[in-house]
Amino acid sequence: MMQTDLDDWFVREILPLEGALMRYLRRNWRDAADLPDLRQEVYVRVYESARTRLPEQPQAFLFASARNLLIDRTRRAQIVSIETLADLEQSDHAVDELSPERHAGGRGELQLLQQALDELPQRCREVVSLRKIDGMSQREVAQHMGIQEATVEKQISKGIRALAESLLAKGVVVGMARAGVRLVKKGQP
Amino acid sequence: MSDAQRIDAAAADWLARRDNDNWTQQEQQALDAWLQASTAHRVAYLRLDSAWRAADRLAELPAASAAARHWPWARFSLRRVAAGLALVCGAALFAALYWAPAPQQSYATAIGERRTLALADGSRLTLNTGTRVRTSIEAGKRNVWLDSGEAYFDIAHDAAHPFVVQAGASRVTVLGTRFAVRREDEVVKVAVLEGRVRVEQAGQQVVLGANDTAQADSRRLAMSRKTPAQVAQQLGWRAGRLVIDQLTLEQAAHEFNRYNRRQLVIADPALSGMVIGGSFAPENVDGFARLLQQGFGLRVESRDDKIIISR
Repeated sequence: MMQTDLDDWFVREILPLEGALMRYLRRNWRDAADLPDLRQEVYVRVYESARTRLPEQPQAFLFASARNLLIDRTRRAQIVSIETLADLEQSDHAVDELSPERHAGGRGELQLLQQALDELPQRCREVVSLRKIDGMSQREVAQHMGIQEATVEKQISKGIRALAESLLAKGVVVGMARAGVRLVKKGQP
Repeated sequence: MSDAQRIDAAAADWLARRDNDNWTQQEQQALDAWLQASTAHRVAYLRLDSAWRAADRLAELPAASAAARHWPWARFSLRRVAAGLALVCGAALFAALYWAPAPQQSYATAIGERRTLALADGSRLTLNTGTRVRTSIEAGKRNVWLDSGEAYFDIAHDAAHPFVVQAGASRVTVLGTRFAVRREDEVVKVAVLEGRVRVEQAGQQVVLGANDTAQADSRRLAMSRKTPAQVAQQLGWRAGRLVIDQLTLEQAAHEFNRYNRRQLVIADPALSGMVIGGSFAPENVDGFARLLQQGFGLRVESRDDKIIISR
């Protein structure tokens, strides 16, 4: 896939705010089971609005979208909690949602990665470690562990989802890693 | 599975597929079509792709650490010069696991900290503020000692190998379930979210099911049934919330004090019995104090490491 500018913008400006977004959603929505749906819906709304024009303040825009979504959903729900609605309509949570984890860089980021890796279930962790730390291909991982390639692929798929959940909650995205690469290249003669 | 989760799973499958060396032109076209089909597909893919690429930085970790983690296969690692060394480490680890008593691992969280651990058997522990645990997982036995504080357990199901949590004189035995144990000196509280656990204390025992809680101290063992909402509230700390449901001011202050170095002190005994409720960020003790000041007209005074509440 060719990364378009919009994709780039989304990855660089919006994804690092996921930790704060999830805290906001969790605090303002009763049913935790809805959170993955809500997150996705917010992202879809943000991405689609940004098609016509990139917002100047991504963070304010993201939280406004989240708030509007929650208001829509609350209105649509069969039992409307007046309190929730009032809370949402009156408060502007975006201000205290500034996420410090956004600046986790360098060594700290590596630690967060290691921690995310450690939290994976055992078999999944083995596959991901061999793939990412030892740099083996999926086929090599399969040979190495004496398992099917299809199993390796399945574990990778599982690992990707778990890593994303854990890394994005802490503000680690590829945007920063890539910025680092660019700097290094610039420095070369 | 929700819509979002289904799309997420599909996006992860695409990425895992593309991560393989034998990715074909046709597959690329199929992926492009899938991404074009809906914005939901696209954002899910971008999100997972960015995290998976961020994980490339794991390559900076020493390979030996990966090899040691995967000792059964470490012998075959030919990738790095360190492979020979890894073999020795792997063999040593193998010997340690099989011939010596399983080593105990210790974990601790500081005041206000929260942390999740994965154990070798696939179980997960989440430690709340100011908690100390030791774990020992070896062939056939799974033991955790809760020395102080509070922990949430998500236990990998394994009927043949009971998982035992020892908290002071109380012992909690489980087969595969999710529950939390909190210990303050000799008072132990257990709350079960799912499955069944057995709590034993000085010859007495009770079996708890979902939404049951038990409290044990040196004299007695009592159980009570809660609503799912009450149990969820009690476990609110896992999501970084301190949920206070009809507690006295004294109890609420005690809860906040577990999470903060700056301690709330209720200076006026007449206030201790005041009943309050709400959902708070546990580290935001100042916000709580302001609420008492503005909402209840109490006096709040900060002195060194103390916040003194009076009338």
